[in-house]
Amino acid sequence: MNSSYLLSIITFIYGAASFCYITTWIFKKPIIGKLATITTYIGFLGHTVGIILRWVESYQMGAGHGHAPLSNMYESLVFFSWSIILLYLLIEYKYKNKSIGGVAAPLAFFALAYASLSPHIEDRISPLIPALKSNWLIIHVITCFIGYAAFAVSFGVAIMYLMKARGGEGKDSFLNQFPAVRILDRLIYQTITLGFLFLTMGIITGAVWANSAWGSYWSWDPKETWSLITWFIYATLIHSRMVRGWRGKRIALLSLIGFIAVMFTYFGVNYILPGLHSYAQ
Amino acid sequence: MKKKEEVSFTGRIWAFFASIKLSVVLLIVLAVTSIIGTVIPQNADPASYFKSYGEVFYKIFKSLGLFDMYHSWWFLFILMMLTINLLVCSSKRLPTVWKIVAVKNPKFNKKRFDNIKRQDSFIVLSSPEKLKSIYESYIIKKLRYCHSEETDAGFVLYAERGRWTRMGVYIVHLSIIILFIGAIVGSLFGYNGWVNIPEGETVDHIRLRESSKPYQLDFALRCNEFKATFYDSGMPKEYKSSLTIIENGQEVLTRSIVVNDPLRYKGVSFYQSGYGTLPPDRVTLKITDNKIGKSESIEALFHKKVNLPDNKGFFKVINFVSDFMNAGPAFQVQLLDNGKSPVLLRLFKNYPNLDRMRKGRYLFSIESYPEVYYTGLQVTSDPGVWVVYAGCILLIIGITVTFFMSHNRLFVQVVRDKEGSRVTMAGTANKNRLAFEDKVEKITEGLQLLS
Ligand code: HEM
Repeated sequence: MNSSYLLSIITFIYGAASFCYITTWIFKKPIIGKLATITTYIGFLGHTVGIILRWVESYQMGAGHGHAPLSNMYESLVFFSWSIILLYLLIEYKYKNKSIGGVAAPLAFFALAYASLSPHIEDRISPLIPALKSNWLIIHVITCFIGYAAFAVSFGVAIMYLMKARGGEGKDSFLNQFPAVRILDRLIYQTITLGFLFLTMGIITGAVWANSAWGSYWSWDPKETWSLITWFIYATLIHSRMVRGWRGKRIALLSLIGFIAVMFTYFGVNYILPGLHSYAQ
Repeated sequence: MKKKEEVSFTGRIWAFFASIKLSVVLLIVLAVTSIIGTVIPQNADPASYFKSYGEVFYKIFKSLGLFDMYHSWWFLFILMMLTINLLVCSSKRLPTVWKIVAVKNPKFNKKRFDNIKRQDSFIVLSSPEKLKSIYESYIIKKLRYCHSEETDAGFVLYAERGRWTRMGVYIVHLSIIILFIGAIVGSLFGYNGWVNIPEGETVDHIRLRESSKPYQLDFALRCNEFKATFYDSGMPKEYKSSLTIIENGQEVLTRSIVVNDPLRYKGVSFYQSGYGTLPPDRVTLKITDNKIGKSESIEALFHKKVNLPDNKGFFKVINFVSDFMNAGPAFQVQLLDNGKSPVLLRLFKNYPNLDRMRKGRYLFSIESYPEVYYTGLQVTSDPGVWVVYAGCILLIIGITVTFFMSHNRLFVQVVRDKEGSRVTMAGTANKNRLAFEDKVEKITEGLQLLS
């Protein structure tokens, strides 16, 4: 079994987990929730094995081929999905609430499904070209995608917030399963501060990498600029919350805008804008 | 009268820059305007702009500096506003925060204690006198600072940790100023250029990227060897140049560089950024006389007349293309065979028999030509880069402190209660209150076990 095959199986496991988590919104049976969690843990375990397996496979391809599996669009999507699940499992453990799984698991599922099933994405392992041979690149990808994963979870929670704040608290509504709006609000902000820290580290390590490869730490290429735009948006959110005291709906909306910017930085720049970034080739 | 107006005017400017609303607005403006430069390609050829946008838009965009917008006056103006905003805000708030932070021995404040909503209490059998030193040493382990005061009915403890973390925001803001300073130093005192060095040759100047002007280095640089290696698939694997620094005629340093591992010497960095082969200055041709079936090797310098074997005509090598129409290296030769009108021949290295089709007296093919690699180096000097990196590190530290560390305070009141004591605990934190409540709970349990 090779890693791409294993990871495409994990996609279906996450699909099943997503289904279970969403079902727990509607049917209040604890057994379904337990099933959802167990499925996610199994998926996460397999996902981790898949990443390690891919790493090993790259070394088996021949001398000079081995590299950490973080070097192209496929591998970044796999890691993005992995980070979302990791973060979600930590939140589920800490808050003892499974309803967030109904948004987090589908996000991880979509990321992995896109990686595994899209014909545009090459899942073969290819050796590194000279520019990508850098430890800074590895740290850069890890920090960026942990940051993106935190923003993704924040986006999911913001949607839950907007659903709950809008839907009111009907007696039988599935919204009762969601954490209180106060907790959702805080969770949006906490995941954003985590994402902001990692995005900052991601931008900085990217700059250090650029400086070691091309002698310029910042050259305003579209990918760099869009990551900075994303940073500005979240900095706006943080300032309006900390200093102007914005809470709730406005923060949730800003979180949505921020995540749109994240997605544009990730995909839009590659597919829509003319650019130089390595993944664009 | 006049004086008063002046004060209120500067006061108003001060207030304008001290406003957090301004920073939010500026951040949004930066986010939105930055998009422009990702949609319009930056620093491209004017003709291509003209073609894509037409004359009117070309003129409008050009006058707004949109073709190099991140260095345009208005973009730099926004960044400057942001900097002033940061400085003014911080200088307004910092003294207050500093006063809070710089306290050496924070004291118990009964009012603050009473204001905390959540208070946990329990009863133990020991007397307050016995508990005091035990509690103190336990709590100081958990929170680092502990102050105690005797009261009429027992004692109070005030403990805290992380007072300095209130400075986190200022670390962040300071680091951004440092980043800007580093960037400005780099753009004022640094340069960015390139140089191509053929194997075996030495250069002592480079070309600046922006102006294409030559720039003299303080030392010379020799390329000893360039090597490109490839994977089986044909993808590039490694570009490697061996370089030697020569100063005052002395070889001072020899080192190999690859992509991502530049050579740094005296504040100048050399990055592997490209390579190529030099166009040859000569070529050895094999000329076969079809009449008598004899061939001869002749070395020909470019643009020099060379006699044909029968001395009744001559040819001239006039041009070299490293890859002519995907057919590989090709030379162009002008042939003036005795009395006939001149012909232009295109000779391909990879297709030696192609010239047969001409059906001339002589068949030309390429035997060999010297192939000299040159290495392409990006050369930069940026004295601000370490300032920028210092700012970056400070930024990461500052954000970590701002969001993930907090100022925690714990109040413990112990009052004599019949045989034993009643202990009341209350904790506050300026951030992540819930996390600290968990910690207070743990400390409470710990104290209960101790007594
Ligand atoms: C991009 C550049 C930035 C600008 C221009 C800026 C500007 C400002 C200004 C003017 C204030 C109000 C003044 C004050 O309270 O001291 C402020 C407050 C604040 N900023 Fe920033 N800031 C920037 C980046 C950041 C970043 C990256 C963070 C993230 C950690 C941050 C976190 C804060 C916080 C937490 C406050 C509230 C301080 C308080 O309540 O005392 N700022 N910022």
